Amino acid sequence: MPLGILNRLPIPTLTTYSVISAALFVSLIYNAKHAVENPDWKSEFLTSDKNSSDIIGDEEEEHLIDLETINLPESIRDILFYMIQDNFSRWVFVNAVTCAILLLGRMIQIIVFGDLRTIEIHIFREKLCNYFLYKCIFMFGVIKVQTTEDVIFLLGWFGILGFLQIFVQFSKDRLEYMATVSSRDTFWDRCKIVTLLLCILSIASYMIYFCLTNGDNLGYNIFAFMIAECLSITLRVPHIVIKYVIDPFEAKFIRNQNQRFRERNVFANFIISKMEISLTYYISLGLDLADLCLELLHYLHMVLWSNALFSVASFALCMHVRYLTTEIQRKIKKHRNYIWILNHMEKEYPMASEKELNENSDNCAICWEKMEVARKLPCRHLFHATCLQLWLEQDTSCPTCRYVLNMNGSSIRRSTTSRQTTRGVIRIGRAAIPLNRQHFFHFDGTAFFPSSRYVSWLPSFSVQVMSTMGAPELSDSQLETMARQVQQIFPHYPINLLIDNLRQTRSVSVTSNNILEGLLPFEEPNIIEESSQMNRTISDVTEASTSTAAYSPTQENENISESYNSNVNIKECEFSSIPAEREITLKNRKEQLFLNAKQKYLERRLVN
Amino acid sequence: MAGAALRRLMAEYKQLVTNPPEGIVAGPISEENFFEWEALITGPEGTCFEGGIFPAKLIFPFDYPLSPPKMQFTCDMFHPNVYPDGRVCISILHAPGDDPMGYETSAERWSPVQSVEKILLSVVSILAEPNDESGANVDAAKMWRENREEFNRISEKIVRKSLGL
Repeated sequence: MPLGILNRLPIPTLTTYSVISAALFVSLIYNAKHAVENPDWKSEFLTSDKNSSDIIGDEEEEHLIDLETINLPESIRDILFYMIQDNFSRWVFVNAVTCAILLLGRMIQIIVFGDLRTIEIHIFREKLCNYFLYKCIFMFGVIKVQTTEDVIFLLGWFGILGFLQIFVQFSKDRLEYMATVSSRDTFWDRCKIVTLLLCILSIASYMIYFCLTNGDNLGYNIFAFMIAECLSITLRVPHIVIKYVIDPFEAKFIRNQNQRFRERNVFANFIISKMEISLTYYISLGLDLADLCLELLHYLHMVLWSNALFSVASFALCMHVRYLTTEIQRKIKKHRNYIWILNHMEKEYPMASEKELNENSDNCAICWEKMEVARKLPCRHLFHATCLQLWLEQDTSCPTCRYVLNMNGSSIRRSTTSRQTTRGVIRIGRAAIPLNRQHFFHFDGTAFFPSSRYVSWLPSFSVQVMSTMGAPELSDSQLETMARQVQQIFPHYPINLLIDNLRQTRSVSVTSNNILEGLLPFEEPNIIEESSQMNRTISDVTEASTSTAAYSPTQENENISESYNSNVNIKECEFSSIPAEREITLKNRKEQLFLNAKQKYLERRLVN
Repeated sequence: MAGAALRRLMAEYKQLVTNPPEGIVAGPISEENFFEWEALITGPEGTCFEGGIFPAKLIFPFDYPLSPPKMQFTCDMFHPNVYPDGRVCISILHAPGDDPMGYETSAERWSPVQSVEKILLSVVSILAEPNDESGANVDAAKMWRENREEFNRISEKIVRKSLGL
């Protein structure tokens, strides 16, 4: 909301702003020097001050003392003194300091982050506006500052805090970006950001130290206000470091360890995989929640302190409090769901044995990476525990075959009847592997009527379901009709082979998939030779064009790729490890596809 | 987690380069950002889209492959299952939870087993055989059912335009 207005406002660029502030500052110094040359400027000042205001009190004197203690030539000290005394020059001085901080920030940004991406600039603006808004509310709505000194002091304090927070935000965004999008080697960039984060952390801890030492002077409330945000920064920084820096390294380390442990035993694998899931998760969750709670307390404190429940300030604060509470609730709910699924997986889906892993040479279907340890679903499909966990958080079916998993856990715990049902389902799942379970129906009546008398007939109902599910061997005639269906698509497969496979899979589509994926080994030397010869002749005729479209789709995958290799440059099908090379390859392939299509289109036009 | 998405996308990219399906080229628009791809799809033989090369943009979520990518044609496309702005409406691109049309079973929706290759092949197949039950483009669906000649004429135009002819 404030963004829309701000975008339209002509904000001066940093250069013009710094030029103006520098000019102002120089003129101020010149002015001050001029004024100091007058021998009795000091007495004038002091008397006028005393006459004009009684408010300027302790702090002013503190400043005076500070200046006395600093070892400076007298003229400079005088100038500083003058600048602090004069109201206008004080603001100019503050402005100059702000400008210096901004320039410093810009410098750090250029050194550490390089150019900012558009989204980062957008987030930066939004955060800055928000921050500014809330601080204004805080200063004028909550603690209602009166004196210029207080305003300047708070401005300075919030300035530094905001500065730190913005850089924390930048680092977080950038690290996230590095972890996700960018594929480049980013070790040095990471180092730079981590150093920056450590600096921020030390500054924040110093600020906490400052609060603690000066807590007595400030009063309990102000102390709490001030320390809350420093604490929040000190919490956030380790969180970011753990999440984006340590975590990826640790994951890599654990994966290496996994490979080493693989020979030893399943148990070690199991422990490692558990550690992998839980450690960083809990640290991250804890810090997240702590941060949110801290902020919530901070804002609640503000609302209570502001003493005026019906002001604009408290309205804005209450909105923020509401947002924070929903956020905390969401986090807790998510966490409970996570724990529940974790337990459920532990109970229902056992770890796959070494033998099963060896039999199943596929990678995990979710992340496409090798499985050293895996969990097994009732339908016998294997997945990494972490991958499966993430999927089950949003859906309750097997990713591969859509087998509907019985995730209605409350019912499992409530009554024995439904527990039997789930066990039955699992057993059937094992008996009939990739059965097409799209129409599988599980009636979970006990969940709805836990203490109802109708429960008594529920088991028989589920038995009925089980019997349809676990249908015994398909009859030969059924198998044959199914095999003929498959043979229509893949005519050169012998029917015996198809029937054998169908007996296992019980589904036309699964068998077809198996054939397409090359899982059904079948040697047909004559046909392959013939077809590849045919391909070669075709590719001779139309040199550049991809002739793959010319032959029937019934051939095996291997065959297709083979012929593809034969008429497209082999180099083009290599996957380079250098990004730039990949980009060029991709571009070439796109161009070639275009050219071929164009050529073909024109040829066809001529024929017609 | 997003690192997992990146690794998986890299694996898919590798597979699409080393073992490409016929008439399909796909890869990230820029190596800097692996979450935005461009795919070129050849119109299937024997259909009204035959021979056209249709570019489309794929945008992947950070939790890919747990959530489906979004796909949008960046060329002109007149098809019952493609919205007028180019977004592709096929059931395997719908997240398992939501069902905007209320006509699909969850078995037809997204699952992490799907891949870019499978998505693109499905899109090729709907180019060949539009599913006029789920009309993303009502005009196109109506024309496909009632006035096939006109539909063919328009798609011919689209094919020619896609080839820059």
